[in-house]
Amino acid sequence: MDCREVREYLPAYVDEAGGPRAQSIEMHLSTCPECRTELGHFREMKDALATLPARMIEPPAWLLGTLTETVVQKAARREAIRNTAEKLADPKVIVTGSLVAAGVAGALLIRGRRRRRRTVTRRFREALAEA
Amino acid sequence: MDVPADVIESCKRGEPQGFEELIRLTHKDVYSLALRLTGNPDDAAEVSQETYMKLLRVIRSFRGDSKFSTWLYRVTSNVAISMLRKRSRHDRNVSLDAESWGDLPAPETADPELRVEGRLLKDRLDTALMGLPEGYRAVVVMKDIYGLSLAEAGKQLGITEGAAKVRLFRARQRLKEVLYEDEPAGHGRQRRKKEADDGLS
Ligand SMILES: [Zn+2]
Repeated sequence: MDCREVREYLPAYVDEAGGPRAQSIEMHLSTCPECRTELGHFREMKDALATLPARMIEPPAWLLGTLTETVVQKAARREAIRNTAEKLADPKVIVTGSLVAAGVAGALLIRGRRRRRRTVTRRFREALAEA
Repeated sequence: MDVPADVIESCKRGEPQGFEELIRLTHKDVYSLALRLTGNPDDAAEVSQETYMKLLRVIRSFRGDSKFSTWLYRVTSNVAISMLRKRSRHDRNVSLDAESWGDLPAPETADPELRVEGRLLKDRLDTALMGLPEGYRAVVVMKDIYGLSLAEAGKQLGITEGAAKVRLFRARQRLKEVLYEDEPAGHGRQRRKKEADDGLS
């Protein structure tokens, strides 16, 4: 391999020293200081890139406040909907409500509760999707 | 990024205070990644907001078999790439295609910021990255900076893993040229020295 060929492979070679062409590349590198410098640049660059996640770019000052406001508000809305849905689905609420409203028999009550629960679950899902 | 497990659990239960804490702990990471992908502070802010809105819905699917940071980077890139895709339909300057490589200016015309003598390599990386077309920069950002897999980067961009790999190697090559001012040995240093002298006179 000559310098031109070796340099073509260096951007890949920097990931894994043992590739299919590793032997020919290594042979060339052992005799060519220029290509060794090149490889050094790729390695240095790759290491430097990997440090970037820790080098954060300062966001505008208002970002944290805006994110907190919009996202937390939305989370709170979702939580409120969930709590209401849970309360409505609570058997005690349903039993009392059903007795007062209709005074129906036990068997009917159970059936009604099941149906009610299904409706509540569906409404809850719809509300969540809208929130 | 360090997010305690109880904060993640609180978010999974949908508790607003969990999200408040999560945002406080991670918004700089999310914003930085979004900016590195979109190249535009306004877009980065919008991507950050959309990312957390999406998290409200999907955080329960985080299973803990990968690091939370990796998972959050994946969600953020996903939102950012979607935005870039929308942008590229209206704005000719934004492109996720492989063809955009041909329009790239030569390294010599790259940002003068990069030529400032004595600045550390890692201080110049972000500027150098912005000289790459979006579709190439995205692969380097996801793979070499944030440690996502090439398969993942390809999936997000809608290209094969092999195509993502080609982009990665090209982008590395170009970044290296820009950062190390590739010229016949010695000339770069001499020219920089001359420019510095000219600047003084
Ligand atoms: Zn050589």
